Order: sequence, then C-alpha cells, then structure tokens
Amino acid sequence: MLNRLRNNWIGILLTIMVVLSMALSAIVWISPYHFEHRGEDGSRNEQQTTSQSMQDIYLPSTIIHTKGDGSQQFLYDQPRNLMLTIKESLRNWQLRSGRRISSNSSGNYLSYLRHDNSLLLSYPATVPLTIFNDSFNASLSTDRISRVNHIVLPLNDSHHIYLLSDDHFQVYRINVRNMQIAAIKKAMKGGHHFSVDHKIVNNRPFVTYPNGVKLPEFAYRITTANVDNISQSLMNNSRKGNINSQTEGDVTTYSDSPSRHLNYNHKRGTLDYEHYMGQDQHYSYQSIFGHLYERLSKSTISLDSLRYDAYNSGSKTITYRSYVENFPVFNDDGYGEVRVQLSTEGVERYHFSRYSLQVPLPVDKHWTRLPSSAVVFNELHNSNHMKDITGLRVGYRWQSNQSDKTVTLTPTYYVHYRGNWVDYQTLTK
Amino acid sequence: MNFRRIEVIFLVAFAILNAALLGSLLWGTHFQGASTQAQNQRALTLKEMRNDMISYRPQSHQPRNGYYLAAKNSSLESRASSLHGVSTRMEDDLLVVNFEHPIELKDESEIAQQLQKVVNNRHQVIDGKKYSYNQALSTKHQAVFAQQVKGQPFAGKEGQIRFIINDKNEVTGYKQGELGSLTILRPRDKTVSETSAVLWLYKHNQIPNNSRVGSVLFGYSKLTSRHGQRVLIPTWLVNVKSKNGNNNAQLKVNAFSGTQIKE
Repeated sequence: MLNRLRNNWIGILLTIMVVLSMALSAIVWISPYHFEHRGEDGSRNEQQTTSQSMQDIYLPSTIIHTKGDGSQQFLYDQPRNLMLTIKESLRNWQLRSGRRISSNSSGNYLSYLRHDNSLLLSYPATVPLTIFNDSFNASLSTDRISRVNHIVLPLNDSHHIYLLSDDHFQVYRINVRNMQIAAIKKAMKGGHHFSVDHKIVNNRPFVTYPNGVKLPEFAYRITTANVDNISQSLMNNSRKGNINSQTEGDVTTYSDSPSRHLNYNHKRGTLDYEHYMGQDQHYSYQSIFGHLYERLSKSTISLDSLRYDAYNSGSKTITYRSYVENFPVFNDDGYGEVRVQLSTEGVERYHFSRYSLQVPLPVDKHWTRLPSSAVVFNELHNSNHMKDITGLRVGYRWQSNQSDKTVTLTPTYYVHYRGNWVDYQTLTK
Repeated sequence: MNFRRIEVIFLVAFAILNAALLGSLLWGTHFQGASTQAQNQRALTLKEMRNDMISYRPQSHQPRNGYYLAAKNSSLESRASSLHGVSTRMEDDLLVVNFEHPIELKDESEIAQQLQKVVNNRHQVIDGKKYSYNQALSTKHQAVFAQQVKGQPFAGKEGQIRFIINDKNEVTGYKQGELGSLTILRPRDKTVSETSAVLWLYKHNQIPNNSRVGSVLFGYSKLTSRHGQRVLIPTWLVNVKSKNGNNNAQLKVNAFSGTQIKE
C-alpha cells in the first residue's frame, strides 16, 4: 500500500491539484465579488469631496427600536449619530447570500417589522438593491432580491439580518459574518425618542403615533446659490461663454442651444432646467438611481442636507429632499427639494431652488406637541378627506425669516393626499 | 517523453493556476476603481505643489469626526475679582489682565511649563484647567493656551488665553476669552481629511509658491453667532510659512464643507 503510494505520488498530487483548481474556479465564478467588479450601478465614489456622497444621500431615513416587550420607539438626535454608526459597522460586515423566507403574508411581514429586540431601518421609499449594496459595501445579487424598503438588524442574533420589500410582503434572510453590534448599541444611547407602532392598513405598512409626539424646533442659516454659476455649470460643456438670457415677467430663460434651457423664477427663487438629449436614454431600475445622482453631483446644485425621498417609476423622477435629523422638510414653494428626471423620450429635467439649508443654529428650545395619529385620522375623517390619504409622516415645515437669511423648522404631521405631501392642518381646518 | 514527465508538467501548470486563482480570490476585491482614481488625482495635485516649490508632507488622508456645537457666553467679568496681584479690564468679550509684577521667562524651552503653573493658579487665571498649551498656535512673541472642545483645541481668541512675550522676555499679562457650556447642535458627522483641506487651499491659490506647509491642526473655531450663542465647527488650521521671509499665515478650513473660512 505504502509502496504504491510512493510510486504514484505524482499522480495523486496531480489529482488533488485538478480537484482544487476546479473548486477554486467554482468559487471565483459564484463569488459575489464577481458582480461587484461588473459595477452594475456604474458609480462607486469612495472619496468624494461633495458634502453628500451617493452612499449617504440614499441612506434609510428612520430608525425604530423594537424592545424585548414588542414596544416600538422612533429614535433621533443620538449624539454619536446612530445612522452613521450603523453604516460604518455594516460596511465591515460580510453579507452572504440571502434566502426568501416569507412572501404574500402581511401577518408575517408585520412580525418582522416588529421583530423583538431589533432596529428597523426604513427607507422613505423603495430603493433598488444596488443602492443598499452601495451604501453598505455589500454585493448581494440582484437576481434574487430586487427592491428594499426596510432593514431589520436583530440586536441579539449575530448571524442574520433581514431585508424587507413592501412589494408582495417579501422577507429575505441574509447570512452575516463578522457581525459586530457593540458600536451600534453604544450609539443608541442618548438623544430622544417617542413611541410608534406599525400597522398594515389597506395592504401597506403604516407607522402610527399612538401617544402623540413632542418635538423640538430647529433653525438653519440658508445659502443662496448664484444663478449665473448654476447656468454655467449646467451648460458649460459644449459652447463656453455663449449662454443667452432673456427675461419675460418674473422668469429669465438661459439657453445655449435650442435643446437646452434653464428657467429662473425671480419671485419664488425656483429653477427649472430642461435638456433634450435627442436619443432614447434607457437605464434599468437598478441603475437609474446611480445615474441620476451622478448627474446631480456634477452640477453645482447644493446637496447639503439632501436625502433621497421618493422615486416615480412612471415619469422616472427622483425627489431628493432636505432632512433635519431623521425628518423630512417641506415648504410650500418647494424649497429644500430637488427633483431630477430622465424621461424615456430622452429629456432630462431638474427642478430645484436657489436656497439650501446649510449651518444649523441654536434655538431657544421650543417644543411642539402633536396629537396622536388616531386624533389626526379622526379629524381627516370628519372633514371627509380620509379616503384620499395614502400616507402619514412626521415632518418639518420650512419657514423663511426674510430679515436674517435664516429658516425656522417646526414639526407637524404630513399626509400623502392625492399624490402630494401636505400639512394635515390645511385639510382639517 | 515519458508519462511521468508529462505528469510533472501538468502538476506544475495546475499549481500555478491554483496560485493565480487563490490570489484573485484573496486580493481581487481590493482593487476598487474610483478610489484609486481619487488617489491618482491627489497624487497629481501633490506633484503640482512640489513643482510650485511648496513643501508639504501629507499626514493623513482619513476623514475625522466632528460636531456642530453651540457655546453659551461666559461671564469672566463678574469673576475677575477672584484674581490677586493683577489689574483687569474688559475688551469686548475678552478679559485683559496685567500682572503687577511681570513674570520673567527663564529659558525658552521651559516657557510652556513655566506659564502652565501660572494658568493652573486660580489666583492668577480664572478656570485655567480648561486650557492647555498649544505649540502650533504659539509664536515667539505669544504663548497660546487653548480651551479644549470635544478633545480638540479651540482656534480663536474667544476660547484662548494669550500671553504676550515682550522683547525683554517678560510676560506682563494676558488676554482671556472663555466659551461657556457647550451643546451639540447636530450629531457626529464625518469631516474632510487633512489632505483635502490643504489641497483645497492650494487649488484656490491660497498657498503662495515657494512656501512651506507647516503644522496642520484639527480643532474647532467660531463660524457665526445667534441669540448670544456661538456656533462652532470643526476646522483644519493650516500654517503656511514662506521659505525666504518671515511671512507666517494661519489659514482655516471648514472641515465639514471643505472650504476656507475667511475672517
């Protein structure tokens, strides 16, 4: 036996080598890293100097802590910055393949939204998986999971996280290696919180506020962008210094060719840019988020405090919105909001304003009390608007103080009413 | 050629193949397109700086953590009576203190220790324990003790004790500014790195040719004030010296926006 081994050792070693090389080739083929190199989203900016990188602009906006007894708390204002800490931690974890463990069951879905001892991170609207991958340095395959609405981080399970998609109530369990939760637990300390409760209403998940909410005011100094700079940054690539402008009433139109113009409304301070690209522009659902961010980051439009807020798949429009802490900011004139569109006919459109929130300012702590969501729904019922409501969220109203270039942000409920977010008080008056 | 030799050749070939596969698995993930692109861009700008005869040794490409903070005012004036052997007056928000007997500085290398004793003496300095000596901010004629903000020095007279050293190597008094209690306006956030702060200054022609970028300090400085409170931001303090003269400039870069703060 030993003799035969000695005589044939080259053959045996060769067999081992062949088997090993087959195994390694298989790993290289299947390995998720492989997908990363193809760069499906086509944008991977690690060290961008703009204030909002792609990783940050597409982060989840709310963090809800479900305790051991099942009660839920909305967390904000943690000094260590909980969302940033989660991002930093998650980027070091190794997310392995995922498996769908539930679909089409709203009851099951709700139980994951309210998973005991967990943090629930929710995006303000659905994002493609590539966006999750980009923010959290993951390389999960889009073949299995396409869309993400929520991420569940169990605080007492160091091997799994869950990705939830509101579409058909799908739940995916992701295997995680090197999952370290200590920094996240530490970052949960301090700050403020209030109680919330998840429900499924009309087949969609809903956050309710059973005890009402008490929130502070915020203040910001705003910056006003120079319109000439904006027009040059949007139109400078072909014909330098050849931008015509024409004023009619309140609107000045800048243009460098028949296919490209920028309308500036003096009275409101808003701008609309339109560019006929002249060819069909097709981006997949997985890639358009990266593409539109790239376009926006190349312009001089300020990204300070902006976050992803909504995507309309029909018109291919992304809305970015100013956020303070984890709350969206709304304004009647559309300040603090940037809409970017790439229509299927090949027209690129931007809608934005000259103003952006820049430096936070101290306020004499003034807190506002909002009623419980049950009271709000009752009032909407009484004013006969309830049937048109498809969403409810806590947001901040941007009020400009013309005298000193500052804005005050005051909290209120916003309801999604016939496709727009409006202050609930305008409907209940 | 015998069978054995063919086997050996195959064995060597497969061994090389396996090594290559293993290598691509282990290291393949670290080649990231965009970050190397950013590195190249940085290396290119650093080379341009060398061509302009600017010496700069980058210390760190890593971002730091910082906060937007609000600092209340502090009333040094009402507490000035606790000081002995001095005369005091207010100059804006600063307390100006003159010693009745000037302090003679013995040795240049021991200025810091000698003045630290003064700062720690509560009959000579109010709240001296909040300040610590900062060599990068000090010069031949001025010794600066900076208040610590989130563990970093404050870069402005509103939170410093400045001893003036005269030509006789004496200290006749000091000016003190004190920041009151601090509150966090916004949670922690990432700042720009030291290198990007310096490169921003260079690209915007703030660093003249034939000069040396000396110390680059991470600290806090005042951006604006409102309702009697100061808003503080993390700041990169870049010291630029000309190589042939005595020109010495302290430039400040807002570490959140990455752009210069002009005073």
